[in-house]
Amino acid sequence: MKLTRRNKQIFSSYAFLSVPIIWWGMFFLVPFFMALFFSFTNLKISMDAITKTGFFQYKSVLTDADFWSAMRTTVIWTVAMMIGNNLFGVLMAILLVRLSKGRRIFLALLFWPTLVSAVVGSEITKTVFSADATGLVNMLIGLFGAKPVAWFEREGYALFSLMVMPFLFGFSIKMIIYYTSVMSIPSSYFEAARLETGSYSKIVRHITLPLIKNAFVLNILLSLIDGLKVLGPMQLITKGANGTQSSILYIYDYAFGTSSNMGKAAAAAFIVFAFILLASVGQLLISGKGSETYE
Amino acid sequence: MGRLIRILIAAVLSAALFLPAGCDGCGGESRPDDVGDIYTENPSELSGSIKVALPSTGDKREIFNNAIDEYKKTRPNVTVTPEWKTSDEFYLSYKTDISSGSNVFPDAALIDHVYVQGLAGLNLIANVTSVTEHYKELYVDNLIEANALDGRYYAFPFSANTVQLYVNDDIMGGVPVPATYAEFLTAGTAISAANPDKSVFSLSTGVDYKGFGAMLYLSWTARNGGTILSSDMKTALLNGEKSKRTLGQWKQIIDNEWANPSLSNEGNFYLGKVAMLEMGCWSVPTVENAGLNVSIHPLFSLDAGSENNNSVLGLYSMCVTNQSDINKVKIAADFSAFISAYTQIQVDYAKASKCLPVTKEGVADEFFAADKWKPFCDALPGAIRRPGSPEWQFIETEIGNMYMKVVMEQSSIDDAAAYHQNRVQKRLDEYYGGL
Repeated sequence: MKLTRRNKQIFSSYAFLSVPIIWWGMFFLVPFFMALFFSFTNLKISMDAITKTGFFQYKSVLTDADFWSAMRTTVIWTVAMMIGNNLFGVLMAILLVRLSKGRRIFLALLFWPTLVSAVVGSEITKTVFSADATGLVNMLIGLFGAKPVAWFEREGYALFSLMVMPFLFGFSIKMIIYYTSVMSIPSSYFEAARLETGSYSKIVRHITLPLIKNAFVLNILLSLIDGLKVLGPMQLITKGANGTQSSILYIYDYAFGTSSNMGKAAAAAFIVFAFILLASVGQLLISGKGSETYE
Repeated sequence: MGRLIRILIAAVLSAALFLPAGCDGCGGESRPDDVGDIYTENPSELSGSIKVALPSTGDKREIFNNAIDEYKKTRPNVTVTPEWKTSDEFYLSYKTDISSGSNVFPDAALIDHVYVQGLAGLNLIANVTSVTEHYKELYVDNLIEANALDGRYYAFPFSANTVQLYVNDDIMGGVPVPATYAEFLTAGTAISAANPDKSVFSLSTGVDYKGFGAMLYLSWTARNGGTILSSDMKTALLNGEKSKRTLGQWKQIIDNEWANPSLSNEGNFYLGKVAMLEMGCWSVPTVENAGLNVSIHPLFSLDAGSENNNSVLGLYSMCVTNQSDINKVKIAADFSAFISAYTQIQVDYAKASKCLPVTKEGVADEFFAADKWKPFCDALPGAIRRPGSPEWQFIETEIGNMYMKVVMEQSSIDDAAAYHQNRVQKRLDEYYGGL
């Protein structure tokens, strides 16, 4: 049978696609369905002693106060990071665009925090918020006569202490997206706007921000997903104590703690997955309408 | 987008409906409940190959290579392939290996004793009682018991450690080293008055110390005459009288301003700023290198009228994977028993890891008979074993969070004990709940 030119194209497309699809299937789809399967079982460590439990694990998660506490922590983290990272990201992008000299240097410097690994970042956070009088924050408050505070050991302070550094320095990737988005706005828009007004803030409000709406939608979606799957700071610094357990740490503790209650961890994972899916779709539906184009 | 979501929902629902239906005792061929008598009378007749997961940091790799060479001298037909791991704490990777069903697990591995009962309960490691019976007398009393479940042994002790009282004699001045809690209070008052710029004691407080703090908490509660978990490991006892007494004592130390509530004073002890520190034997070289005038003493007792001064036991043990190939089980058990009972290997490994040998001959070695090591060795027979609960990791974290709440004055002793008791009990009930 002789293949037509079009069929050849289709065949070669699928041939190329098959590699990543098989890869994706092996390392995502198979574990996904295995985890789904486990969520209906009592799997602990050994597959030998596994029995079906129906929706027991889901019920166990949904009636667990710790799970809801972890979800609350996760939502607080997500909202704070969404606001902080996007606010600083867009602000830095707009300021960078205004620079006539040294733009790339500042861009590189502001991108730098992204290169710091999570472990190193956590050690920095530990040092900055050390309970010792020599901790940076305690030294600062000491200047005003305040006594050293054990930031990670007090409920209420602990989550705040974990959030400060990522809130202030976690904007780099977002900033790059905003920056490229602002740079791609045709200069004629700004030239026309400048004929109308000399106020830069008005131009930003009426020209720049509306035209980078697509970047906002993308960045907010990325912030949402990043925030809802946060694990590192809690696991590396407080181990979830004092109201800092995130939903992913909750799952991790059940899955890889000594007891390895994989069934419950898998059920929790699917509940969190459903939550992320709903939040992402909801966010896209709300903010994705009426995307701006330059045409 | 809408189509993708519909496909995903459909896939999830179909899997939810059908997958569980096919799962009743699934998971492949089950392992034998008990491997029976695996002791080999004449080890030179053993033949085959095994993989052993071993720590590779520091000088340990060389020690294990020498041990394997030594072993092969009397077992010429056996091949032992070490599977080097980067950390001593590779329980998680071992657990994953042996439970994956992929047949890539090591035949033996060195793990923290606190995980032995959990793995034994799940039938993942072999009952090695038939072999330990022949080696039992060689080990320091008490150590083999740390690997027991229902009267059977599931691992060979390999490397131990205990905690003792480090005393900075310069700060102490003429104050006698306390042997009881009452004496500790008297000493603390005197030290504090004479050294206002120094601390009396160190508690394992702060974010990085809760794991070790939980071990010390167990020791304190034992010295108060109690424990934190029932003997069947199904009931938490964190709100018991003895546990709460420990919380009270720790709070008293903080209230007296003898220790820092939010940060361990361990580092300051090595800088000569703290009078007393309860610490493990691994810190002996640190103290020696610091050039301090430090002596090491037994822990002080806490229960009035009792001489109970138990340390807590740290122990790494060699366990044997429970698998269908009985020949490998036999070789793995033989190898594990060999390296755990061979004095030179024991002494060399203990020196390299700054821990203690587990054999009677090992602790009698000249090195461990020295003043700074002897108290740790002497404490081995009476050392308190951490409960081998499958939920130990969770319990340990909860203990850390409980005492931190008390010393940070965020909660009363009763409230903290009740709160964390409930959390641990809930977790234990979940584990032993039958599902």
